[in-house]
Amino acid sequence: MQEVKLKVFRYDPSRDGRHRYETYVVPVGRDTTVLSALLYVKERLDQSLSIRFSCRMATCGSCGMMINGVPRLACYTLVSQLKSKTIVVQPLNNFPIIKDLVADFTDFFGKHRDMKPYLMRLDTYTQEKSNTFYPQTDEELVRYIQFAYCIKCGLCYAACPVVATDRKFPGPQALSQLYRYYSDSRDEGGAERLRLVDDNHGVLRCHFAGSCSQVCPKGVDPALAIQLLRRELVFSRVAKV
Amino acid sequence: MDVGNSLASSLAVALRTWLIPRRYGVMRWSYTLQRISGVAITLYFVAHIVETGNVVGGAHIWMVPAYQYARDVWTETVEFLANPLFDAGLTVIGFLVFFHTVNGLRLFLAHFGIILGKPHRPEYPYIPASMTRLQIALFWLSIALAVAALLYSVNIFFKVILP
Amino acid sequence: MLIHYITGIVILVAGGIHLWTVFLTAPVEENLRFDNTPFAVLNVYRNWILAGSLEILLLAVAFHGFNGLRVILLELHQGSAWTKAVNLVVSLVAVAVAVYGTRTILIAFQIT
Repeated sequence: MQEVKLKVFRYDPSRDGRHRYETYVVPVGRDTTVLSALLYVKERLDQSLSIRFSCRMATCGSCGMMINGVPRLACYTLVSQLKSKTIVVQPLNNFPIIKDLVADFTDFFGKHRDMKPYLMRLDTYTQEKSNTFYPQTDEELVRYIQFAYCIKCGLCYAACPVVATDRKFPGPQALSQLYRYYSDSRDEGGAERLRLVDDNHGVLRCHFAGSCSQVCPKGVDPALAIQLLRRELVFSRVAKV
Repeated sequence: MDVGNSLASSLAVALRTWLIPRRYGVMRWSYTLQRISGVAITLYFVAHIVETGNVVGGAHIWMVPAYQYARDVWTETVEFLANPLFDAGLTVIGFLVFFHTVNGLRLFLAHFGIILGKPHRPEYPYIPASMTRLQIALFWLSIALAVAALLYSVNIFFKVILP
Repeated sequence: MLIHYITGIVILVAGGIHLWTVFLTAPVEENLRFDNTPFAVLNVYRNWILAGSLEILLLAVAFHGFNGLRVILLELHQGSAWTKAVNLVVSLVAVAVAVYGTRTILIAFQIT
């Protein structure tokens, strides 16, 4: 059993509103994840630590945090893979902080909701009231299925340099979900969806730094979705900017 | 971290995230360098317009000047500009212009999805299709051409590489 | 804005022409050392095509560069006062630079 030092960001708004770092020494094995290490701290060393987690298997998207300066899922990151004796854990960048490592996802989900993340058909009666189904070929499926694997963990939003300063930018997650619905052959939203991001703080603010795709734990590749969305916007002559 | 809403805190956040890519890979560096080179080239552009304007008589001349007057002004400006500091600055500008141009061409192609991969079912280890080898090669090409431009200008101004 | 992409391509072509003329008027070392015959560089721009391409380069670079600065400043901070201020100042500086540059080209074109 080896030991590593976990340097954890602590912030409690009900106390004095200032943040500090506390260092804990945690025994780890070959397969210990950062989440296990944090839970060890919470159980044995400091019960006041607040973290958000759920499935422990990289499918719910709850445990996103900055680990050694890069946004990662705590349950998906092995301590041994980080190759450092001190691990610095901070809450996700670009999110307001509620307490310790827990970030406030209200804006994030709000921007996602603004993209109308549901299938839109012109004939809403048939869509909602009848037993109809919408067949799709494999080619049509492959055009969007990659982007449908998004678990809304917020790592891409934390990595994006544009989100860091531009508060009106929807963020890579919302834009890639917009493209996911736009390119779904069952969806009839079309130009109406494109108009949602056709302004000065929409798709055109993405400069393809690629950090979103770099950190995505599910291989969703939001950068690709955004560039394809930009192509649709420009070449379908809907764009007004 | 919390995003501030005053100009000073926006500036602090910007400097932290835009200028310090922090282990996000090569494309994030290219974003940073593209921005810095763009700002530097724009500032140089303003200086260049002022310098070339001076050399034909300065801002108060708006018609064809006498031949001799123009020749004198040219000579003065030439003497002012023949300065190793300015030459060194020009070599840096040469590097930045070549980098910004070729990288900008790569971005033009990538922004419209032309040199990117196609969407496919994600397979572990999830190498993103937006990070195709062609794209990364074009980035390194822009660095290589920029370095070549730098060496060429150093050779012209300071004659240290070729005799 | 989409014109940013278009001006980028225009600069690629017109800038190529500009670099080609600068490096072709004389052996490069002497030309850039400025101790060549005083009007060698000016001589080159005395035909319509090259002067026209230089003017296009000027306008394209002024737009592309100052629009880029505008984008960077607007991404830094949002708010209606800041946005209006940035738009106004950047446009004025860009227009001023373009006008001064055009004056240079016109004068160079007229010197006999």
